[in-house]
Amino acid sequence: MTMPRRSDFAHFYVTTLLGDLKKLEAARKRVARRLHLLFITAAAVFLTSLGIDRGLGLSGSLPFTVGVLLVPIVAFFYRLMISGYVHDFKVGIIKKVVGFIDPGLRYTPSGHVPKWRVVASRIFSRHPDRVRGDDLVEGRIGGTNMQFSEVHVEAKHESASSGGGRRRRWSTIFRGLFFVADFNKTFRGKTLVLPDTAEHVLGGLGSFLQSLNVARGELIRMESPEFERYFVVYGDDQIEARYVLSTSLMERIMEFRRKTGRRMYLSFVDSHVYVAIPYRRRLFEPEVFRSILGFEGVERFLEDLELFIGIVEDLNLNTRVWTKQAEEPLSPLARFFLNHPAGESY
Amino acid sequence: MVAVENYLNLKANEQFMQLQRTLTEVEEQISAARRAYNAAVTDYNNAVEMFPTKVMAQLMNYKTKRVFTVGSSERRTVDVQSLFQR
Repeated sequence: MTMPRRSDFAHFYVTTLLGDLKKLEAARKRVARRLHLLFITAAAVFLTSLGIDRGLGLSGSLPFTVGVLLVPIVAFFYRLMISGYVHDFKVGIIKKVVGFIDPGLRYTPSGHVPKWRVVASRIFSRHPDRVRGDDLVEGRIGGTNMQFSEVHVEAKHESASSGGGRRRRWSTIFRGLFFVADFNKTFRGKTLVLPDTAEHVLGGLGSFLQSLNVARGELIRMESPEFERYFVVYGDDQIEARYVLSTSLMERIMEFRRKTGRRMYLSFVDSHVYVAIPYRRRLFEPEVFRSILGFEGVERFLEDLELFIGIVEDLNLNTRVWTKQAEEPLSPLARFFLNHPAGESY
Repeated sequence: MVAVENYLNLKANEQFMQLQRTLTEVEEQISAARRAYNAAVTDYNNAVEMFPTKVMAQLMNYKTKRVFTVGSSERRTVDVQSLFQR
């Protein structure tokens, strides 16, 4: 599949997107006005409590309490007020941009890569207890089934509280983009390709420490010094890891890393490839306080989507010269059960 | 008659494709095994030549090993035709 050209997208922007963008821009302005009102009200309440506190000669406990109460209330209303607009934007614009890149792809604003997939990837050393996310894109690029979404992976911590009950706390393991596709070679084990931090900073000592990280599997030293500078490879089979990570695939991974300029985590488990790319910013979320009419804003969504959809091409997953051939496309029912296995809440 | 011929043709073609895939597969597997072997040899050689493991290696009379290299005649693409003409 070749990516559509920029000029075609400019045309698509004018003919198809602009009309919807204008309608959404009106909705955005309404939302922004209401949000301003919300912030002003919250500020007024806080200042009033400050005034009362001063007037009564209290020691600042009143504005503190009000502030603690206000933050979650404002956050709740903020999310409530933008949700409709965000949903309309995703259905109206992002869905169309996805369709523009490849009409065969499906986009689900509220869907995400299922938890069992994230667990199966073995990318994260801590067990993921909760996976949330949105903006699921799935479909078939050439002969490769793939799926990606934004995810927020969290671990659960439970501790006994003073009241005798249990206190539950969540900590973030990963936030960013999670990508799954079937790999073009058949293999049974797992191979992890993680960003190399230890060797980068500590040199030979780092490499020694890495070899002690037994939970991840055997350390596999690749012959390419450049690849070793950026990544560390763990696996359960020295030969299989090299069968999966051919010299050309290593080059392609480095090329993709250069292109994105981001840390990336890859794993190859049971004939699937998983890619996790951390992002601080939210992906595929529309602006609320700035105009959405400009071409650049929409172009950014296109660039993000092309980057992620392009993983299939960049890692050359469509080359089926090995004994593993392209899988049949999944039926909608099979897809449903794959995304919602029994026992997982959805 | 024509249909049968076409079918035979198709089947032969399918078998050829399968053969081609198998050859690529075998090549990739061999390459992986060779790279794994060479990585192990390089690791071993480094240990033999570097302090402090060098001392032990000398005591036990361990020598460096040669990595596996492929000659240019073995590097040629597989000549399938000659396989069939045997």
